[in-house]
Amino acid sequence: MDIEFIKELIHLIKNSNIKSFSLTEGELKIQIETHEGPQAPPQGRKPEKEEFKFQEILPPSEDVVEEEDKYHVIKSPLVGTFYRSPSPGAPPFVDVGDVVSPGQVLCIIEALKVMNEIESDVKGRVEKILVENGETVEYGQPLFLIDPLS
Amino acid sequence: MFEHLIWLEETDSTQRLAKEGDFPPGTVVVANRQSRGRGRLGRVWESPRGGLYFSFTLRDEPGKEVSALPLVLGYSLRSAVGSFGIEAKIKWPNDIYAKGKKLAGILVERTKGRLVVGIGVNVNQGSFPHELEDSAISMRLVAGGKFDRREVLIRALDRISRDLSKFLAEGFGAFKDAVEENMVFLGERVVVISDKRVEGRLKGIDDSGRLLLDTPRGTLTFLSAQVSLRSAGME
Repeated sequence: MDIEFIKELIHLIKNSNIKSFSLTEGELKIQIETHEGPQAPPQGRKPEKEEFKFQEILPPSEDVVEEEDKYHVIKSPLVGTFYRSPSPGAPPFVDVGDVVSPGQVLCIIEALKVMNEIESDVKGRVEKILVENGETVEYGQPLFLIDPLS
Repeated sequence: MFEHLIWLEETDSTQRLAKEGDFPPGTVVVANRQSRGRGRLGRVWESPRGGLYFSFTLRDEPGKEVSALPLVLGYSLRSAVGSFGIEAKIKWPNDIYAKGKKLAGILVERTKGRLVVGIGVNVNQGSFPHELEDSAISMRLVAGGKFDRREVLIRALDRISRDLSKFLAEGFGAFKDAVEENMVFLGERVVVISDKRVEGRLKGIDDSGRLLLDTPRGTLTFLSAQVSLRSAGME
């Protein structure tokens, strides 16, 4: 359990309407109590909602949460065959680690010999390429994870 | 539909020019020779003098289903060469065949709100390099005489603009039967090579232009790029 995780925990609890929270992991025990301040949450929330929030902060499921939240996902707008380079043997349009700009071509999706160039709609770093060259992709299938740069 | 014409003696690729040049929609770029003519997926399209090589751009309307465009253009080209007495067929999805050999090819690229169409027609070539002899043919080799390439271009553009207007208004459904009737190998035993090699009878196409193959395991549908067709008897 690292300090960032504890900070995050405090932050989440502070912004919820949980009054008291405790967590034990090995020898370490964390006890957090909140006191009503000026930012008190609106009245009348249902208790189930509280329980949900409580559960949400327990597992630090970084992998899933981070990929969905932190990265911009480029999805396929059509069914077709995914190509990473403009021609066989040519260097790929982009590699992991490359910084791309809006409008830059990332790949081609071919259907019935129509070459659809798929562009990035953000500026960012290519974090992950989720499909292999030559693979058939479905409508809406994630192709690239882009780490947005401001 | 086609309002401007740029006819060049030579360029590396009319497709690259049309794609990168900032021409108004409806501009047609033609070249007598291409030093780096492009086929699909960057393959080289042999572009010696005597052929007709042209590209043009169309506005890509968002949400418009254009994947069957190569088949529609193939149909237009087939009628255009047909008006010169050349009997040609559509080889799914983007080539035109005459006497069992390639007479013309179509490349469509979709980029930045535009469709860039490239067409190569073998018109007046008297012969082909050795490695293409068995697979390529020209209008001249079919008919035994030369053709005016300007006239071929005019008739091609005329049919393309007519068919495109219809395609944009009515969709591929308006062409499905006509395209299917004019397909090479229709009803014949063929081999389709995609991820695997599948043998069957070429049934036709569906309403989206996808290939239908009758096999002992049922009718299979193909959309994939790696599909290539050949008559089963030719293997």
